[in-house]
Amino acid sequence: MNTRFIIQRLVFSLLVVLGVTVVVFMIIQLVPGDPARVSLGQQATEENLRARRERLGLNRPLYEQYVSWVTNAAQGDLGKSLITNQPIGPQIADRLPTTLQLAGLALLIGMLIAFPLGIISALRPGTIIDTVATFVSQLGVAVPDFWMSILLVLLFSTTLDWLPPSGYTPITENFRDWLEHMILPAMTAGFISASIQTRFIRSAMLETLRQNYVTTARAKGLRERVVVLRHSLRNALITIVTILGLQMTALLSAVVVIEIVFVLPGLGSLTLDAVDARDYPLVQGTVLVMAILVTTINLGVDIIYFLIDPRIAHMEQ
Amino acid sequence: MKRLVIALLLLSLFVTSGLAAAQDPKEGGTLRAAWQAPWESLDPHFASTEASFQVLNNVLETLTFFDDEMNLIPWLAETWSRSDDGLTWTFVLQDGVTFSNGRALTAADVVWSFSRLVDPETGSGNAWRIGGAGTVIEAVDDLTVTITTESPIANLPASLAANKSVAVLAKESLEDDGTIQVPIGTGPFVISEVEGTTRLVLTARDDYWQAGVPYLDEVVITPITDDAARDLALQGGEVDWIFTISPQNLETLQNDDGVVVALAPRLSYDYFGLNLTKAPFDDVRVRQAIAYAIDREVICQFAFFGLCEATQGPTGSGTPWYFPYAPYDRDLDKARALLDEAGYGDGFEMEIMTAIGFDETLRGAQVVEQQLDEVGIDVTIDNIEFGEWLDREAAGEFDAFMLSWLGLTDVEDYFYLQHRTGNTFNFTGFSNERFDELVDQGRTIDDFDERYAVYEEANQILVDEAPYIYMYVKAEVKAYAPYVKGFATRSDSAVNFWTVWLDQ
Amino acid sequence: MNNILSMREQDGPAPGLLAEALHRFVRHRLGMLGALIIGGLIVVAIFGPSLAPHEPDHMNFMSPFADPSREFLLGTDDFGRDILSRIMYGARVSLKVGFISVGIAATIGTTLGMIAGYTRKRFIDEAIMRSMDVLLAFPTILLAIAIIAILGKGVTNAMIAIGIVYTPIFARIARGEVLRIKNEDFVQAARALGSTDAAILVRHILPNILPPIIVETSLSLSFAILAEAALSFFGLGTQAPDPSWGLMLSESRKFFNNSIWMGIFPGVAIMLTVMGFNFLGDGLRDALDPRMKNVR
Repeated sequence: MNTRFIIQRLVFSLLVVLGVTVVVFMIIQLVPGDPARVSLGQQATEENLRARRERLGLNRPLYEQYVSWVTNAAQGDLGKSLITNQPIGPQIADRLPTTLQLAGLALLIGMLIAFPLGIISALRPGTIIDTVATFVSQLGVAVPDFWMSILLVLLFSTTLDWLPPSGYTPITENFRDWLEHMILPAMTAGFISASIQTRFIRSAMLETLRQNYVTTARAKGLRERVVVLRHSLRNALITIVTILGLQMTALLSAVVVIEIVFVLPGLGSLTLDAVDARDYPLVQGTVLVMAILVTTINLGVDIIYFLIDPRIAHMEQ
Repeated sequence: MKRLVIALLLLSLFVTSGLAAAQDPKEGGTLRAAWQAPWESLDPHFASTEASFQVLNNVLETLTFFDDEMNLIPWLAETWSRSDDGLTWTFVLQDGVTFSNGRALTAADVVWSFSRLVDPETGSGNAWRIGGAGTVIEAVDDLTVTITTESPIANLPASLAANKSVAVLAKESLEDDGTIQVPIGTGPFVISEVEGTTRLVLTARDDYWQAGVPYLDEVVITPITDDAARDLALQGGEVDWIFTISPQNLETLQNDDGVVVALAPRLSYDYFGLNLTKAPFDDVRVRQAIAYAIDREVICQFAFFGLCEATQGPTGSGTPWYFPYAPYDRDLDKARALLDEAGYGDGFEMEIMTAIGFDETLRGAQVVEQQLDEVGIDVTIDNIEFGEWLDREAAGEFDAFMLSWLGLTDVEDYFYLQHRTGNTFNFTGFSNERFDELVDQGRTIDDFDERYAVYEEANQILVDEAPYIYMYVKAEVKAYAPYVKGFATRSDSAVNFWTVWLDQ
Repeated sequence: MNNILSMREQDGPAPGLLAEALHRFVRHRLGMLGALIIGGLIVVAIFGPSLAPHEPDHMNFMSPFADPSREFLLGTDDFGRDILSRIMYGARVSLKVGFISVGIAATIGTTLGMIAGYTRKRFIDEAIMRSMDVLLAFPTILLAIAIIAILGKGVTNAMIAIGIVYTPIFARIARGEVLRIKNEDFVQAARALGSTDAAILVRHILPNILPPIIVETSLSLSFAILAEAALSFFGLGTQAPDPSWGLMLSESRKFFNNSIWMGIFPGVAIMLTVMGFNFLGDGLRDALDPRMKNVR
């Protein structure tokens, strides 16, 4: 039974990834006009164009192009950048850690804020702290991530001069510098993530608290704190895992934006640069990797979800 | 008295700051430089952007060279001479120059590079610099090369120093598919790493032909496209040198002890071109009315925060080719009268095409929009992708296009290229017999005063006919950390890193 | 759901139900607040030209970067243009982009979702819904950026991109709703009377699945407005000189040393609008469809 569910999810994810490859493959096909001409510029000669089309594989039938593109991509060969002629795979591998580090840090900050806030406001519904939590989370959802970045830079860099407004040092080079550059972007993403998480955690906690066995446990005479921690939290875990899964997708979206604002060398800023330079193979590469990342996270969440509570997985099916 | 001495001392420091005065340069170190845009092609015959050319500036070299004061000096060529008919130029290369791959530079390399440049198959937008497809380049011996053009080019030696499209590169730069990804040159640096368009490393050659330079070991170039972010990166010490500042930050940066701001008048101009092939711009009175209706001081102030010089003709006061002809001080009554005469007393609608990414152009267009509104001309700004902009410019699908001309060294770069009948970059459709005669004649003259007189007349015709409405000439601005020494901020915007050293 | 209610639902919610919903909505405080904000915004968008204290494009060359004052309530920008007037005109851009892009998403998404839910051919359902899953696999903003990479920069393409990005959400909701009611008596009855599938979908099913679609529309509008602002912020969406809130914020970054107001007020406008649509959506949900839980 267990394995069947997991295999099902795996197959489903593979199908999604296959669909993703089709969509990403089509990027270069759908460009209005001749991608070779677009990338070579108006002064390109026929010969240049022919060579470029060949390099892009555009002279072969669509089906063949797709198969060879997917086959290469599966082996990690995403082609070469049109602008620099460097292989794309290593470029992405270079940028991916920044994106993941930012997402991870943001998630951590988000959880540090959301868990206490969500739990307290669920335990004391209707109190001031609950109202504040609700208001803050409404605010967080409505504040554009790039504006939040601006506000934080205005406060911490321009006014207080505590932190650098942009730039990046790799974690391997200097941890302190890395953290200094990451903290504002991570806070931006973290706050936004916290506001969404708080709502979920609060309602998940409320739901669990209402359920019978908590009452039972309470009747057994356990102290309230233990009730909360041991029973409610564990049961709320299921919901929380889902949230984190949902969160990661939304978070990655925010991270893309925030990277660009803070000029961090991640996949988001790489994509925007590639769009600006009309470097279609590079756009394809970054978008493909991000989509696979999201799909993998979703798969992971589904599986964890199932391991915590197999009943729910069945219901979903 | 003491105060005066200090003031004089400071002044002299300021004047010679580019020369790094008395200090001995220190060897070694890495300069972290922030570009204003990602480089596109690194093939000098394809490159078209500043970002690309300024990378190539440190890798490739030309036969002649402009020193920091814009004097033409020998470089890869030791001497040159012109034949009596003015058609053939002979250049003698200096001995002992090697490419970064170790091979010695010969006349054959010049022949190959220039032939590729003028080959119509290559399609370089810079082929005109040495005459075009009809130009014959031949090696006389290992170190002597002749360039024979179809019609005389008076300024060929200057033209050969204009930018790196006319540089000499090794044939080995060519990839199998006929493209050049990383060119091999004779310059002081080699491109040792290219990470997409996000990071590029220039590594110093130890076998460079000029003794002693470069001082730096490496230059790491990263583009930071956002103006504010770039300034802050310098202020925050994340980079040592930035390509340009955001003009509105000039004062802030000048007041920052951790930043040196260096200025020089630029060899460029900002303008908008009108479509002379369609009404109402086919009427010279309408064009003049537009020229009278705009206030160039205000445009300079708001488009480029005053870091510029309002001009009514193409040349600014920073070049010896400045012509003080200025008939168009703002005069709204005159503008209205001219429009009336032309039959457009009630005004008309027009579109100004700007390109996404050229910020000051868009800002200038918005000011122009407001100023032309005062004489009844209703301007719409169409801010589009540069690719589309170029296509529409080439196809003549515009009322007006706004941009700037950069990297203009010789006087004819200001006149011949854009305005002679039938030239590639003549997008306005301007055609004037006397003007053509003058600019053709100007190409055959060596004597400065004689040439000046010819171009002065051409300038007057051009300004009167107003196919271009000139707005301002920008100041070149570079900024770097105080420990960056030996960098010369040049009028031609060239970024030369081999004289730079780090005092730390 | 009981049969009597379903039968009554045949031609859309009966007047009684609507009145009931309206009554519920009016008592929903946040929902009313949202309606108020959005109502105000629509008024500003429509009557902006006569309400705005200044021409949004008029440059006061003598007073750039002015702080808020009686003359310029929210200060002026780098060209000395009135920020308040520009924000008021920006409302038009934001709402236009929001309505058109969500309109695209809702129309295509609902249509696809209804077909997927209603069809008896499993492969059609699978094909549609798996395609939607594929679209959902991309981080939203990245998908929008990729679509603009194909189509080119500009506000029209930004609307198309946002529309595509939010299509799957509508498809999922519509399909779920159709599955819920397609075996109800009134649908079976219509089928027995010989109505075509298209007629059944449009006349009988659509009116009954509208409430959640309307709720989703309101919530999606808030996301669409955020997305437009983000794309314009990156120079991919609305282009200057059109006033767009995202673009204004993007511009403001160049002038932190001159004025902080440029970086604050347009953001407040975006935030209020997004909150407005969120509140409105929550209110509508509670009013129209009490079954739905707050799961977003």
